[in-house]
Amino acid sequence: MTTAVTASRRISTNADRVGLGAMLVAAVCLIALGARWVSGPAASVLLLVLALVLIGVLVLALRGGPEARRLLAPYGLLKPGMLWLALFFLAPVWSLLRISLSTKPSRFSVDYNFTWAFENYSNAFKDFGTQFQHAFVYAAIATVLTVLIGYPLAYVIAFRGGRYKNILLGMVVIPFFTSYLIRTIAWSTILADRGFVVRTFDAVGLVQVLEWLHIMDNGKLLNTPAAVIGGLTYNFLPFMLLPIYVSLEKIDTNLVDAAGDLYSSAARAFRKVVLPLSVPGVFAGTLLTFIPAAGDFVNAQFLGNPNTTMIGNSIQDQFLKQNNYPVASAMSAVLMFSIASLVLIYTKIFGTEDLA
Amino acid sequence: MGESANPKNVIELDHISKTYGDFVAVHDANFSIATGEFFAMLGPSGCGKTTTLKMIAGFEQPTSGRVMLDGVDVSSVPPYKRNVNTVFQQYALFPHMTVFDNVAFGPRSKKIDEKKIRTSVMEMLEIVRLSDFAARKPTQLSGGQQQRVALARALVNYPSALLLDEPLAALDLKLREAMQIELKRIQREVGISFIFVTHDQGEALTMSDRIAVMSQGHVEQIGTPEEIYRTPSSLFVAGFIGSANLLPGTVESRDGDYLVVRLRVGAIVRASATGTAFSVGDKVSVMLRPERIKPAATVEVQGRGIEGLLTDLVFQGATARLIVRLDDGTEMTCLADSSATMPQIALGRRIAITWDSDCGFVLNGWPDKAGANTTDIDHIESTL
Amino acid sequence: MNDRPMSRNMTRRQFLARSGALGAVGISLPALLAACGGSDSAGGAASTTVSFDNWPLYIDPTEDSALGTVDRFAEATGITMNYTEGYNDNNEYFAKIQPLLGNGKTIEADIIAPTFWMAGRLISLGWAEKLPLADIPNMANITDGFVNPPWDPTGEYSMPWQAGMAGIAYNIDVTGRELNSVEELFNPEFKGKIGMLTEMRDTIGLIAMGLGIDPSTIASFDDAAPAFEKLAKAKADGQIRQFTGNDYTDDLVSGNFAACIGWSGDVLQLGKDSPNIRFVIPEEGGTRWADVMMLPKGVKNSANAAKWMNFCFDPVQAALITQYVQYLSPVKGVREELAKINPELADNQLLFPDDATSARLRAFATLTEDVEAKFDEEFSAITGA
Ligand SMILES: Nc1ncnc2c1ncn2[C@@H]1O[C@H](COP(=O)(O)OP(=O)(O)O)[C@@H](O)[C@H]1O
Ligand SMILES: [Mg+2]
Repeated sequence: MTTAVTASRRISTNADRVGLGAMLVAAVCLIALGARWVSGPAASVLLLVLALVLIGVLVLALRGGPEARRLLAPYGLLKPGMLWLALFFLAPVWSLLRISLSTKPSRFSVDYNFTWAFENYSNAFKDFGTQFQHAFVYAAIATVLTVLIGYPLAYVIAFRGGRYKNILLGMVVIPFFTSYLIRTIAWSTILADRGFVVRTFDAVGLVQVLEWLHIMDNGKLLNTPAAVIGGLTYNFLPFMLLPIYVSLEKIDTNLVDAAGDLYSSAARAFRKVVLPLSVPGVFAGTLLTFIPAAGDFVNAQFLGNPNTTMIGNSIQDQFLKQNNYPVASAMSAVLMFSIASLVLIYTKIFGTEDLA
Repeated sequence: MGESANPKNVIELDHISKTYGDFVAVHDANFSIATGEFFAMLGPSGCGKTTTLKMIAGFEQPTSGRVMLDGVDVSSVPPYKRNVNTVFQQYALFPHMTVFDNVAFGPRSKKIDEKKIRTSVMEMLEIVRLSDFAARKPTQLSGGQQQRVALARALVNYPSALLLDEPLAALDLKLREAMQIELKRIQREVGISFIFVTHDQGEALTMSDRIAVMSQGHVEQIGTPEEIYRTPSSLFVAGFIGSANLLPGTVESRDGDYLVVRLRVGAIVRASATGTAFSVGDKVSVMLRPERIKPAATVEVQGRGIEGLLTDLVFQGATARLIVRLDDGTEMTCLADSSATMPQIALGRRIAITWDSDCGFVLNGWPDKAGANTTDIDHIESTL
Repeated sequence: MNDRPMSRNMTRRQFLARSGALGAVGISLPALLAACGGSDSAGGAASTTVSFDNWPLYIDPTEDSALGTVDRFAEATGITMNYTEGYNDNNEYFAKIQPLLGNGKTIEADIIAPTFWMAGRLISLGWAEKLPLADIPNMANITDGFVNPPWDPTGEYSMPWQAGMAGIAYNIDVTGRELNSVEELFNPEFKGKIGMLTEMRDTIGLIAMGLGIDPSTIASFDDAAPAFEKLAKAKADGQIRQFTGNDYTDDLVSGNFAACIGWSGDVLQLGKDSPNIRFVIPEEGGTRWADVMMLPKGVKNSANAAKWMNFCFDPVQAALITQYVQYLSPVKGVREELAKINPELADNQLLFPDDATSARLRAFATLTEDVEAKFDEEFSAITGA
């Protein structure tokens, strides 16, 4: 017992290193369990290791005195976050990557053999290149459109809303309390061939113009690329508008007055003061819009046609209909990593950490 | 007050008023500010100082009246075309720009040659002693430094006048005092008229060439600090500037430059008066500054003193503060040389307070309630 | 997306299109409930319960004073049926039960309702339990076409539930004329206004028939390749507006589709409110399908399930079901029984096709696992999903 105490004293001087080590071991154990690396008796052993490590740290904290407790406390506080990350992010991603490199012994088998099956990735690219392209192009256009629509709207609400601010914001947001799906399906009714919109366009002779612009096709507004992009734009507008609104709302109106005081016209004051200060909102908005839009499948399914499918539709089909988990996982991984790298590049170029 | 088109006046406010709906924020302000003058607008919060300043800057349009800038009517000219600059209440520095870019903002708006901008900006940063901070962002500066950036940003444009809206309000006491001196120095150096809004009468008294005292949208009095302190035009001004003992009474008779006033407590005193003509029987107040009153064991000369109960005696080092309750309940504050206090003057005793007859100053009307005397110890200390 | 649920009135059908759409994105509430909901089938010989997981709106419910089939069954046998509507899509349902049955575990439901080709797959995977045929004397009432069908050659694993036909559905307001040929689906006149089904066997089957290929004899991909090519070209040309599930009916009624591949029962119901909606078995022929009842491996209440199947194959009971769901009944004598309660329906060609029409119908052949995989892969490459 005494030796244990002296040992823990000795260790307690290095308590922070012990804490870090224990956290890492615990994380690996959790990922291994969450991702089902191990099963059966091995899993019990791992659970035991996990428990021992945590009990060990606790004992160390109790026996090691206030100094050790002080050093260990941050790791204790990190625990919920680490747990969450390990169980709900790292483990699923690990599973996904593992399955994406696996093959199935037969089509309806429930087992996967991990075989470094990189052909899943080449198949994903080969067979679904167009869908990837659609996903990124449509999402990018929709993102630009949400900025073009969302920014002026947010601006008017933030600076001209007065006491109607909350009502106006509510009017923007309340439609989005209904189900995503219902909203999208509603658009398919609105844009139908014999629906109100197309009939109105027809009556005012706009159809030719829109066909020339490739927005309408053969008299159709529904089931065109424009409809898919329009649906994405509509559905993700709040994700753009709200962050922009928040960043505009935060701007001290005295700054605008100050710019005017310093001989700037309203236009220059906007360009030099308001716009740069709202960039963080636009930045957040583009991420919140682009990322889910690129993975979306609902809009393409209900507002698109067979030539406008996005990668989300393909992944869903591979997972749920074709039972092809390996290729579906590979596609998901490619989507995830391409979005991640796009975001990284975007952040590098437009990142505005000192404005946050 | 309102002089007409004087070439030496940078700003002339020609009977301007501003109403918001039924609410009169500024009523018939009519005064001028001379070139190079340090002009303070003083008044309690909500009295219309900022509104007046905004009308000068052009952020607000007067409901009636004209604003003249360098002799030209600018009432309908937008702010960015007026040659005045503002130092905003919270500085309003552009958080996304460096100190240099903040200061260069005005000249760049005017599309001045970038080379010239560089020299004039650095020059101005030199004046406000921030040359080493040109590359910093405002958030990396202390409050006083931000204040000086705001000054530099405005002054670099060499405006006809600089408008400062409570520029020191956000600073702590020490820094505020340092900045008061700094502001005066800078103002002397650049020679531009400063119009300085404050609700702190001490600040106004120490810094300004002239002060306009405002109350509820009205300009109560305009004058040098000394004029305003010695000969306030109203009970409000007397109470707002420094601390004042106000003794209610009625005019008994006139005695050359003096008035003889029968105080409500019974005594008959002599006091000086200017401006308003008084007639016998008028309800008036005699204003006595605490530092002008002397305690004494007994009243030596009639008409020079009154008696009361000493209810409080606070030793303050060089001075002692005495509170004397008169027979009608009025409380008088007296600030005396602490070495002059004597054994007869002790708590709970009846003592006399006396003053030179030209120290009393007659004001029209009675204070709202007996003993509505203002006492601002800090201020008295600094103005003694 | 293979929901083919039936009902007499429009509101129900519209509800269904919505739930079909929900199901299409994998948020089928009934399916989730069915997956989560426990049942009290505790096993043991004396069990008085049985559970049936079926497609939505695919049985007559108890309405007003008239008892539905489930309650009539309870009254007649004392067995309580736990009836759920967990089916929305064959492939989705398969994805749900696969981890259990594939790992040798049982699923909650005692009776499931796959479409015939899926039944064939489950049988060949060994995930189905044999029926206690001796306890189902009404077996004798199965109509001739469904005795020992291709997907269950020995007839030991499945009993048909309802059957139907796929043909061409069209909106005559849009087409301006009657259609009678598969070729019309490829007519440039209707460019961008043609719907096809995500159900591979109906879409490929019908196109194959248009090309003179008998889908019941298809054994390899090459046999069907011309149909795939024709479909791929039509899709690339923009001829096809959408591949849909049951929700094609919305597009047909609204005029977004001039024509599409559709199911007989839907049009039967639509016709009441929208006389401009027509259905035809094209001159080249149409396809035939059936949803079946079968027992998953390890089924707990096999004996009660047999009693249920026997009950449903009583023509009197079957007629009541048919009256409600309006599909082709696989039970002999239903037409006669229906004539007693609803003579109008008993004469309907879409419920009781004449021999000439029946002769033009083909069921899609049962594909081997590899061939089916190839078909699914090629089909999904075209549908773009
Ligand atoms: N835009 C406005 N609308 C209505 N009332 C206003 C407005 N601006 C100022 N006021 C009112 O005018 C009065 C004077 O305001 P202000 O000039 O800001 O006072 P201060 O002397 O404290 O700077 C205040 O009572 C204020 O409430
Ligand atoms: Mg103010």
